[in-house]
Amino acid sequence: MSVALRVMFAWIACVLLMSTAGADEDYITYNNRPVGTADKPLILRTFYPDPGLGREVLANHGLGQRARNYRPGKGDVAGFADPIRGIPAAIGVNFGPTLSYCWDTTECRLLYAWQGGFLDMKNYWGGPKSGGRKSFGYIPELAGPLVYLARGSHPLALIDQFAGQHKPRFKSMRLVKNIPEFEYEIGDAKVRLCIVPGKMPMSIEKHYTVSGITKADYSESGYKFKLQRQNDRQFVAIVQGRPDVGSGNSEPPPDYKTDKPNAPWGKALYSELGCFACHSTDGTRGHGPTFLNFYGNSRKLTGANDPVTANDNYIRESILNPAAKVVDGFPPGYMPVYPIADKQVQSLILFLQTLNFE
Amino acid sequence: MRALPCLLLTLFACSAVSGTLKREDSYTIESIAFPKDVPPEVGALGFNDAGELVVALRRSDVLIAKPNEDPQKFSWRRFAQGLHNACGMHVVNQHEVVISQMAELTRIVDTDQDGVADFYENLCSEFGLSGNYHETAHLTPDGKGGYFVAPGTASHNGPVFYNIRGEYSKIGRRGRNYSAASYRGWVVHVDAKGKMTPWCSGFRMHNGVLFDRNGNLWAGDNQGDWKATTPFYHLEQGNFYGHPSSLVWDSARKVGDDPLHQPLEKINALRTPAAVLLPHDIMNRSAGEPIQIPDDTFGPYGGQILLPDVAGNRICRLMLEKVDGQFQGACTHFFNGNGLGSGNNRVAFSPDKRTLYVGQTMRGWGKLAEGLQRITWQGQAPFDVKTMNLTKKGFRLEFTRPLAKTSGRFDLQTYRYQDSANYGGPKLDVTKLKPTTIKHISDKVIELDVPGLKAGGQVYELKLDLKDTSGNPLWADTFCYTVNRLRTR
Repeated sequence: MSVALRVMFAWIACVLLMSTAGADEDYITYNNRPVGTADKPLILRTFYPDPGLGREVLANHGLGQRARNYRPGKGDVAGFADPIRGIPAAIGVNFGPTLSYCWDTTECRLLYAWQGGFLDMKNYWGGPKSGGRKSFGYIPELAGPLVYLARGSHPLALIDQFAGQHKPRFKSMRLVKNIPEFEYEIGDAKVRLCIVPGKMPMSIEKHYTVSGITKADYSESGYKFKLQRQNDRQFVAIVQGRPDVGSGNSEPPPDYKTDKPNAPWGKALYSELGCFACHSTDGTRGHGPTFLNFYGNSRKLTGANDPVTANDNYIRESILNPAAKVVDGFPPGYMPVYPIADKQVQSLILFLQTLNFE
Repeated sequence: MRALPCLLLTLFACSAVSGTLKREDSYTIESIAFPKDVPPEVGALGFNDAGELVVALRRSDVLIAKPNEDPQKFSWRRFAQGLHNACGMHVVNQHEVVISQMAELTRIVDTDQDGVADFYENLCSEFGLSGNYHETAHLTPDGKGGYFVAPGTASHNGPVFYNIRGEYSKIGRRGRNYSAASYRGWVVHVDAKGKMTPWCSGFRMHNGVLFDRNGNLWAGDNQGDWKATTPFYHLEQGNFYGHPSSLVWDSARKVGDDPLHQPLEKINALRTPAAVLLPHDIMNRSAGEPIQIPDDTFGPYGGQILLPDVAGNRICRLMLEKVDGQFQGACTHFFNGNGLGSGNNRVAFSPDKRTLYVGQTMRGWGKLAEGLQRITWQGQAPFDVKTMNLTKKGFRLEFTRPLAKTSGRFDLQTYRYQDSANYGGPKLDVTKLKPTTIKHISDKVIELDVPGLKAGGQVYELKLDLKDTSGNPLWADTFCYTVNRLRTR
């Protein structure tokens, strides 16, 4: 029941999100954190970060190497200039907080997906007055946590062709009702792919239509996925992302027990339920209030004169019935209901207590 | 009593035609507003067949507006989105543009003709992409459905990525501006089917190529390593234009193991010289997009080429001619300040060919100078040197207006440049010269004989202080002719 409910509420959240975000003007402005919406995703080609993709994923890229340092007027000098991590020719798409993804035109492949915000372009675009890029670190930053990071060889297995035999060739991007659909070729196969947020939290739907070969198969290493086939050459791959996919920079999965409420379990739930997509733990403003120094502090509510204290009861109510009280300055009806067990609620409360540093 | 108003009217009419000129009698300049908060970083400019101005901005968007008489009141709408550092654009028609962006040459089509593009086709992505911020790529249509594309080199002020697109060259990676990824520093030809052919090499930051009305292909380059001063080249297939890093991608020409460390004489021998050298600081610091002036709707300079300065508030004018079968010629300023901003990157003529739109940007490369301006011809030729040609013994100057016979000043000096691995280069062997004779051939034509005229990239800088018969000073006062070859006939 809880899964079905969650799906429904996630859907409701999406609908609400569509109606609240994405105003009249679509232009890219001086705002370094542009976002799109579910029905009008933002598409942006730029340099993309490489959050730790393996060489097998980037098999069709050339390899940049260390070079001698160069100084104007002196030429080659002591020391070395190392390459930096980045993806040169990818396309990024943002559907609002539910999903952003990075699809690469060189590998013709979904490289990674994340939630929360889209990109922080400050490193690359600079401020409105300065306009300077960050000299050796101008790659934009992801404005939310990863939920999918490609692993292994290309997920599409094309019958009649040996894997890795042909270099993929990016042909086009077509917008169908504002949603991008990529077309690429591998050998004789023509592939059309449309990627949209799935119905489950952190899930990704990949709609494939393949022609020019007899059959296409799909496999994904490291992620649960479901195939909904219409025929041999047309199917939807639903990939279930998860919060702990970050490479070198993410923490190992927490070790916790579930016999009684505890903070590590709460921390895991914070990730698994997708709370992180809206509530930061470092004070960053998201779609919901930050959890830094949240527990036990006073909250001003929309439409109420008296503030309330973020105590156990308030937190329990906010999880089970989020519409009851909305913190001033945040959109109403944004957060879905999470009908979770009381042990889980208590674990989340214990986790929130660990985020008080005052 | 009737005669007086008539006389006044006549006098007034005379002053408008041949009296003292104000700058606005020749050209006006205006600044055009974009929607609120939209960074006016103009990556590329053009007009469509509906008479609308199409502007590709560097962050993402392609905007369209019908030009308005009031420069503050353009009604902008978005045509396309998501482009990475759009750099060159060919507006095919109302529903289609071709844009060279950071990663590829992209055809962008509004297939359902609702005013918003819905199809982005990769025409060519065969040139490499190292991830360095500096690797832009301008384009010009070849007139046969294909394009010449100019993939620029990378800068030592930025890194490459661990994973690049295309091949990586360890040797090409070295030096100040470098060619670590395939065909950087080349001009490539992409035919109508998307097949890429490397065309010519030796460029540093050729931020502007032009296939002109006469079928000639041109490119400027940016002063720096292997470019002592801003050059303007006539491009021909197979030629090498001086920046050696690009030679690592030349399969035909073997220049040792490391083209960056060859004797200067060897590079000099391989190099095709610039048709025009634009002395640094005096004329131009960073060449933008060249454009050919319409025949007779934009003043007296029809057919000549304008070359904007990305790092200065000026637009240069080039007066080219063929001498001994090769193009060479002179440069001067078409605009030098007088309301023009810096960052002059891209240019396009309006459909009536009376107005030049100038797109400006420096973001990420230098001090911000973002914007869009337009220069409109107002019908009165300024007093200017229309053409400067080489004669057997010196130079022939044709003016736009009759010259006052009273003597003026002709300050002449000559110098040369040597390209090298150093960033830019000084004027070498600067020699002040005195014209041996100054002959008035007609009321608009002067010939100067110059002692010891030299060829081989010798620059003759002529500074004039002259007035026309109405007392107008010169519109521009400095003219630099690059003598590659002497006129023998």
